[in-house]
Amino acid sequence: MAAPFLTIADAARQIAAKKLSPVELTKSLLVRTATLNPQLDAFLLVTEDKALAAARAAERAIKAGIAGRLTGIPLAYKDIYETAGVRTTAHSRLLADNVPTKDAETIRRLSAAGAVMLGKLATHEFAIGGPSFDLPWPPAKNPWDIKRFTGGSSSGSGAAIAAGLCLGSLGSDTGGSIRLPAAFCGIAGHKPTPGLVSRRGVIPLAPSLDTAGPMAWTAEDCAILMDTLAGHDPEDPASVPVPPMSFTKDLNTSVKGLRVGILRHFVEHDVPATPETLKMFGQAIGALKDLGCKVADATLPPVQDYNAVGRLIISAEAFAMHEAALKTRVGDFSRAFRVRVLSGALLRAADYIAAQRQRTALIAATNEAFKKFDVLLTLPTTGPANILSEQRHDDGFSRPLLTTVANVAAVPSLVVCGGFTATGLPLGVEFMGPAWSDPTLLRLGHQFERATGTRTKRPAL
Amino acid sequence: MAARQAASAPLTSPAELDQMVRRAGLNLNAGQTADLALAWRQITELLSRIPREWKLADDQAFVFRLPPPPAPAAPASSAKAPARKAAAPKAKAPAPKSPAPKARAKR
Repeated sequence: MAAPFLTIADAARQIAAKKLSPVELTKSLLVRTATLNPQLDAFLLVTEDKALAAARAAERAIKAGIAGRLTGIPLAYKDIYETAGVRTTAHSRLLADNVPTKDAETIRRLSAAGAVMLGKLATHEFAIGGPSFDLPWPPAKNPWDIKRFTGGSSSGSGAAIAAGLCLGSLGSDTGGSIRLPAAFCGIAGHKPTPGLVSRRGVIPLAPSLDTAGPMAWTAEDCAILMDTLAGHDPEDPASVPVPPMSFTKDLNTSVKGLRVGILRHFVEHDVPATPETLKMFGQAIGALKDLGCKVADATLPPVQDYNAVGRLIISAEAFAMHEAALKTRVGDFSRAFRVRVLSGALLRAADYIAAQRQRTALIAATNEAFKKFDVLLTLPTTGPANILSEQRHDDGFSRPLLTTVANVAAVPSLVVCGGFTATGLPLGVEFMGPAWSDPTLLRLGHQFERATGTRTKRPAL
Repeated sequence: MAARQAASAPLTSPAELDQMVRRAGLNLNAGQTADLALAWRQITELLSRIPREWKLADDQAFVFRLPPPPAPAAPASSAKAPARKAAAPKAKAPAPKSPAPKARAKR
């Protein structure tokens, strides 16, 4: 039986060397999922037959010598990614019987590269309404402590990767939905530059902020996934025809001399983090210095300014997306969804446009900071995961989200594990860079992970 | 970023909220309305952080960007230049007395 705690990079090396069988790896993860999913609720649907068929096809490809780096790698997808012939619910009773006829472009790319789909993962309803206990499926639980929140909305992705149920996943990020579960579940989550990864076939939340991206145990694994995911899609109007770029080629190139700006005011003043989290933040800065980065304090407009813009745009656009159903089936949505989206019905067009205008100003202010720095460092959360049952529905409204800064600023961002609390809960750090700096962020994240040694610790399940 | 004046958070009475909900075409029960009232209070706080006094000239086209025009055709290589020269007179035949302007004018 294959070991469950493998990274994509490790598994790919072993598969290429014919030391690991994709079928055996897939079977071992299916067994592990059958054992652990009843406590974790990470999977909404396990596609066992399809997974084994794909794993067998991967083995044939390897024997035929036509395998790539993702051939036979078991992945699972947030259930807002459309999958041909496989139920796609968005964790909502409204789509309980929805079976798409086409794959999302990202799923198509991964399947074409030989990846094995294990199933569909929990989310918050339509990537915003959760964690919810009033839906047909329960919310995912955090593998580091199953009483705790995973972060959301890519909640099942965070839980499944941390628990070793799959080697990687696709999440989506409108205000932090890839990076919050990455932080709380102690994994890596990459929100790419808008337009770099196709969103076609991903059920939208707020199209002017939505981003599709990878989640995995390490930054290196996210980079491997990005090598397949990135690329122009003429059928996604937001997709940008950028020249091909490699996300893995320079992962081991030194980061010495990289200018890293520390957004100290974000976490010490704007949205103060816990003392334990700030201590980890200080250690992360020290690790960057040890890697040879040039570190200095940086300043952006207050987190609250970005958060207000982000929340208003999300409320308005999400209500517009779901207006018809909210007028006829409002009781079928979760309470969390209603709390976060219904108020969008009351916003005026002038409010929405004012928020978009302010976004333009905030993008300009952020880009100004990138004249002095290659990367900005902050925290994605102010502390570790909360108790799940105490999670508030109005996060982001009553309390600003640090992660929304990157969505509003239209810049790429990467969260990696920065350390652990005294009780063993993971804490994340967040790197942001200017548009199209994704390879640099992944390189820095990879080297930071190696320097801090956080990737050797897994949840005890 | 230029500092701009943000509006103060407006207060909404229950009657005003009911009117806004009806105008939005929503049909909510008492619990849903109570949740919305709380959410709307938070939204108005967020709205108060959004500047409203902008110079009109600052209002650039933020909604979409057109793609660049198609790239011009690649220039002919020097090796093939004579053949193209020979064909040139055809291309230089007198253009028809452009109906296009009339057509455009009709539109």
